[in-house]
Amino acid sequence: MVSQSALRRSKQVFLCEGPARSSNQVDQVSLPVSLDFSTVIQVLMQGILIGGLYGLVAIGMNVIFGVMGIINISHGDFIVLAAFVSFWLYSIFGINPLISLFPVAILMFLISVPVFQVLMKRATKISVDTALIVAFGISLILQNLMTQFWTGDTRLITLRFPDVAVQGFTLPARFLVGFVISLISSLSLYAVIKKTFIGKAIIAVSLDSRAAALVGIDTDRIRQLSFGIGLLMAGVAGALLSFVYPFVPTSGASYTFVAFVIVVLGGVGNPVGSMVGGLILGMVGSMSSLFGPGWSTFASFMLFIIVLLVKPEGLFQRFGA
Amino acid sequence: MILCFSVVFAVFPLLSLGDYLLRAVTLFLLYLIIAQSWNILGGYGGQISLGNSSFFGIGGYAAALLIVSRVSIWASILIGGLIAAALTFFMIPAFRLRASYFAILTLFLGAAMQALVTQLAVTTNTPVTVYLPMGMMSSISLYYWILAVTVLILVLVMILERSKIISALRAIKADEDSAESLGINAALYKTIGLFLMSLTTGIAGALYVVFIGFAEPSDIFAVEWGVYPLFMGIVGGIGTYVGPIIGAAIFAIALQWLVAFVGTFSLLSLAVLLVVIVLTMPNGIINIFAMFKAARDKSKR
Repeated sequence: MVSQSALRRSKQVFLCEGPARSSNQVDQVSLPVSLDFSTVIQVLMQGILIGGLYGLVAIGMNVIFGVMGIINISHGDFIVLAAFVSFWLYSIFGINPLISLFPVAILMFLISVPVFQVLMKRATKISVDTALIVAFGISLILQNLMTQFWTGDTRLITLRFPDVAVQGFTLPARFLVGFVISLISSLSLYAVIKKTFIGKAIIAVSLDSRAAALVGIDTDRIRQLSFGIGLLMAGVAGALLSFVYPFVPTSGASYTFVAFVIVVLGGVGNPVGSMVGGLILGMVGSMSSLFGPGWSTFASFMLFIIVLLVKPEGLFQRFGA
Repeated sequence: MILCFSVVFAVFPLLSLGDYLLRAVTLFLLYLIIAQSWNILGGYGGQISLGNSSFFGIGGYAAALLIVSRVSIWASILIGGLIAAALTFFMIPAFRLRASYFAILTLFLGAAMQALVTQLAVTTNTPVTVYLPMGMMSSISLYYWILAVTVLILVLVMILERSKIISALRAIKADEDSAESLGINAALYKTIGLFLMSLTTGIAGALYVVFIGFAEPSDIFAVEWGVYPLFMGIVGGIGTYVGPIIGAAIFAIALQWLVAFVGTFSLLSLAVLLVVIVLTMPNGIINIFAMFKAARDKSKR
């Protein structure tokens, strides 16, 4: 029958799964070869590195979902947009993506303002479904615009990093850099939310927006801010991804999927959950690639189904709850 | 209502206004089918499906394969629809959750199907397009057959509207938890709704394939087919009976116009239009009068 195996295989192209697929990785495991200890550890470590990056991808969506209650279907597309901007900054001006990370993130935050004010604010006031449709519309618009202006060619920035050798394991440097920066960004976000007054306001709105309004919090501005933070995180993720994975204008969909799975897995409204969820997904993905090329996507999909069936609220509770 | 609709459309080909118009109206009927199908779950039930392209595509492709294997046309179409409906079972875990989760899952299903099919073409390195034997039936008889199916589906929805199924779906849309507390098994009715939607959309896909004479995977699984019913439903009026009909009419005309004038930007324009309309007229054109009335009532106070 068409369905079952077809769906499994479909995810192979669909998800940007980890180790088994990228091109110039000598250390990749793509066949069910010797399952000796060092290979397993190697793959596990790679999974963790990728997982960190995935966590960053998810954190933006998590914040938006937690505060505004809507799943930003266009999240992945904003990530790809940021990746493109980084790519062009590098190709035209030679700016290293690690540096362009900052302006790109700020740019995304600035973009979030009109998007929120004009579209999302109105949409959420009408209904949740409307917001969903608007997000979908934005996703389509972004994908189309990017394809029109920048063509469907695959892009990737190749930076020369030395491959780090840690105790005899080779870790692709770009994954490591991506992981470190993701970690830093997530921890910064965590610190901001936990320590600052605005962060507490965000938590308040995420828990109960009416009560927050009653105590005098300007919920509209907090929502705008959260949306901005979400997009800012997407910007950082995009800038990182511009040199970690090749991308095309339509790659957004798979990143949205990854983000969504992680948000469900980790729990809505909890940034720690996103990181942990990302790590889990990364590890599951890379470990399952040991069995063969197509298995990582299948495993991710299965993980998702299991989470939905067993604990749809996710691993962590809403922050502050 | 259906009666006059059928009469109008039955008489239409006799006017022999030319082949182009005939094909255009046939397309309109097909659009109407997918709009009304989407409406069952999306409009009445509030479970917005963004990935109907998967049902459309599978129905079409399966039917094409069957027809080529010498199964009779109508059996193929029906079986195509049933195979599409079989996808329902993948959605079952989602039905315990909110509508937003369902929407995303349908989106991913649709995208996954498209990726799968493109991947198939790449790996097998053979053209996956299935060409149907030419001249299976004339344009006019095809038109009447499609009209018959359209009417059938419209009648089906009309019956459903008065039945428990759509009432339950309406309750679920209004407030799922309250509906459940009244004893309505939300998961069951959502599954029924999905089954019907996927079945009829799959049949539409099969009819489309017969209409154009071949099944090109990158065409029938394209994300557009998931967007079209959404567009028609929202523009026409979700949750109403006549809404999708109006939506389909507007869409059919708009699409022709868009393709003629903006070509590659048509999906983009549709998306922009969709966003604009959903923000200004969330309940669709049908409810414009209700909107004006509400606005007037508000200003009177």
